[in-house]
Amino acid sequence: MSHAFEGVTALDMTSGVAGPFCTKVLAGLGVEVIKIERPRGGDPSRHHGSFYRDIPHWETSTLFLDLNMGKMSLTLDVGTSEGARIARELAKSADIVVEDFKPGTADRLGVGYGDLEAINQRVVYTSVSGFGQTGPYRDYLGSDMVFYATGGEMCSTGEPDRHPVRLANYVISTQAGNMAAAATLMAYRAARTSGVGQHVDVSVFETAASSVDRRLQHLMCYIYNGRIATRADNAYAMYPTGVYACADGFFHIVGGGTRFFHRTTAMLGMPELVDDPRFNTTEALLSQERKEEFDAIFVPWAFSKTKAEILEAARQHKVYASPMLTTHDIFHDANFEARGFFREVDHPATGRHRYPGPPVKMDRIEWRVAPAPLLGEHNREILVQRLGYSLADLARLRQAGVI
Amino acid sequence: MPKLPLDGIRIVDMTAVIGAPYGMLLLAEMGAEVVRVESLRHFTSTTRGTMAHPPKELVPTMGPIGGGYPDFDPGDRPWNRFALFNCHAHNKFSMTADIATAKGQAIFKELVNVSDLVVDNQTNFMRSFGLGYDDLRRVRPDLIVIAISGTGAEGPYQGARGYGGHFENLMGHAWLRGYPEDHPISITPTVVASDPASGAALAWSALAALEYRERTGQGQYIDMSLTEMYAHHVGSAYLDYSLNGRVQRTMGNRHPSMAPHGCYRCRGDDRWVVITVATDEQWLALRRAMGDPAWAKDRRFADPFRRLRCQDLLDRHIGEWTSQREHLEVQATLQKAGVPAGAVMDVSEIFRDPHLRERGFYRRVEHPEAGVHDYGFQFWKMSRTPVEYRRPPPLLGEHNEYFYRELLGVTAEEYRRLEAEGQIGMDYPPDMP
Repeated sequence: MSHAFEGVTALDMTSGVAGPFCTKVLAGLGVEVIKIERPRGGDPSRHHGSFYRDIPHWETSTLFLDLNMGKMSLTLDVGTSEGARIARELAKSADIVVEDFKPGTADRLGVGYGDLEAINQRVVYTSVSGFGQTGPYRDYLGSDMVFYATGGEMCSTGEPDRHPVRLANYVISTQAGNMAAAATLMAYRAARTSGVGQHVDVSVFETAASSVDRRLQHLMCYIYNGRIATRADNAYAMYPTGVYACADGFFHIVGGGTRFFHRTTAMLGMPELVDDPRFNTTEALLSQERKEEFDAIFVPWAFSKTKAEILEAARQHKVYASPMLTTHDIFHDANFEARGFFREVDHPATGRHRYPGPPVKMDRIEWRVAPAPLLGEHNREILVQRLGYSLADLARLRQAGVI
Repeated sequence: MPKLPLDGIRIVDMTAVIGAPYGMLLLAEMGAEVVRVESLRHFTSTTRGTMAHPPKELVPTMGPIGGGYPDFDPGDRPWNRFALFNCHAHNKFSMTADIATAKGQAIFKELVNVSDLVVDNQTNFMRSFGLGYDDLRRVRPDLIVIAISGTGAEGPYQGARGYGGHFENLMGHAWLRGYPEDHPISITPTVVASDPASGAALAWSALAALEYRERTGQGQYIDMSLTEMYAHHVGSAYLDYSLNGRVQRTMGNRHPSMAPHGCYRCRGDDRWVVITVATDEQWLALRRAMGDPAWAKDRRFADPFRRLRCQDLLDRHIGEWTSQREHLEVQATLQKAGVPAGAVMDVSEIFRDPHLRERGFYRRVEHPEAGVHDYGFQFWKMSRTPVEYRRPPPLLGEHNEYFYRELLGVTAEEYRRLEAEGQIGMDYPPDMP
């Protein structure tokens, strides 16, 4: 077992969620990622909660600890001429550069693609931004919810008579980072054979608009026939479909119609219901009244089962149903446990804890599981050992606020 | 024109529905020859339709996805006109073979012999036909197989059925989204962000395995579980449990440290805008953009902590201001002022969106059976190897000649026999519902 991209190096000038998720994937696959952080405070995500034991500290943010696993940290103010020069020095030997400055900023600071291409022709330079490097929204500001509203399917998320509602935490930005990782490795592959790198422009807005988080499908349907998906469309499926309560929580099922109803009734131990004249006509499958009649059978069954029992019954009868697990359930889940998903990670500021492990299980490729770096943890290693600065230089740079 | 990153790589595509096909699209766009092997005797629902032959009069009632045909007309071959398929299938190829038969399995193995990767999201199905990784590596030792499933190819939940939403339940997403007041009854599992996430991860997994193969000469098996991959999309919620024992639940549209952070009604029918304020600077910009009303100067809104505490009141005031304006107008006004804000755009607005138009997000394409339409296709922009719309979504079996005759060297006589046996063709049987 070894890492896929052992020996490949990336200079990471990103912060927040989307860019850091991109380089988290690269780090997991074995790329050596040098993360550049501003000298005072570091990546802003260090200041977003929650924090270990709820005590705010830049080394204990769960958001930062998760998104920056396995990277090195170098504090550097790229806004100073000396800082930009050091960044260029590092970029000279890097295979990959990932940045998420506001469009135009990197060029102004002298660390844009043009600057780095001139000193390193094979470099792959990925820019991650809210709305892309060009176009009328180029300077727009974003947040995860702004990206979901503009690019994604927020308009069809929620109930028809209520306001649209977003998805969890930062999943839209995370997806952009995931796409940026794929795009970066594509460009790396091209550069490895041709010897010439390129500029990759990833926009969170576009990754949302072109993703099959229903948006691309709904967009295609609209283009084909003019129908606009709304929050009312969530009621289309046939019963039993939706969220139901069980003995210790909730579960979601898609269990109706000609495709699924026979599996559901088998799961209930009442296969005869398939031929029951109350339910076996197309009209009955769509009737609200018959739905209530069926619920009178289904709801008590559901209440008698735990989440784990529902899952097992559904699995046995090939029913599309699953319980809604909480993080507590997940950390005690038989499947995650049996597959060895969680890995122990020891971090100097927070101690030893279980972290999500390899997102993909590969036979021969090892996923790098290592803690997020402390702020500036690798300053000396990178500046002194690799770039040849003296300890006196370091003191001077620190005093000048460059590192 | 420079070579595309995956030029010369052939991938056998056994994926269904949407998440994995999306990943295959990313690989196809970057130059891989992705060939879908489809069976004329087995119709995989929600891939080339929810039915092979939907009755025309039912189509308008089948919901936005199920009814997604040009002008609501399924046509003579509905499987070539289905929006959910045609949104992810360009640049791919299609050949037909029924791997449930011995003959189909033999053809499949011949194809594998000249391919680099096999990707499936129906692992048990493949294994049951003797086409699992252990069978296929005997055909081609350096083969890469990627099996995508909801909960993993191995483990106690092996074989659990579901769509992306079901697996999001199992990794906690359901508990973290939706309306906070009545959670989780009202969550909407119909929007599935884990599907495209698995597509992106499929793409970089394939690249990692190819890199590894080039370095070592060895192929491998990749067991990708949607729940495990998507867990990383809410990783901080996992760490909050691991480090603090806290079970996070949905905050609705709110945020732990930003306020205002909400979705506000605008003028018109079902029109909304979202506004998110991260800093005092943005708050002052928002105040100015609203004309600095007296309420906004209230000390209760003076700093982030107080704004977080008084959000109900804050949201009411902001909602009054937005409700008198168009959502796109609020977006433009606030963005110009330096406030992160965005209209809740529906697909018609995304279709017209000037930004996407200027960046070349759409391409007008003539599809032989679906007509002329604009297709949204650009996921990212690359300066040297740009994404190209090289060919429209393949008709079912469109490339049979190429794969059977040219690639596998099947004789004309044998080709006709395979047609007669129902391995090769371009139509599902007329009696298939």
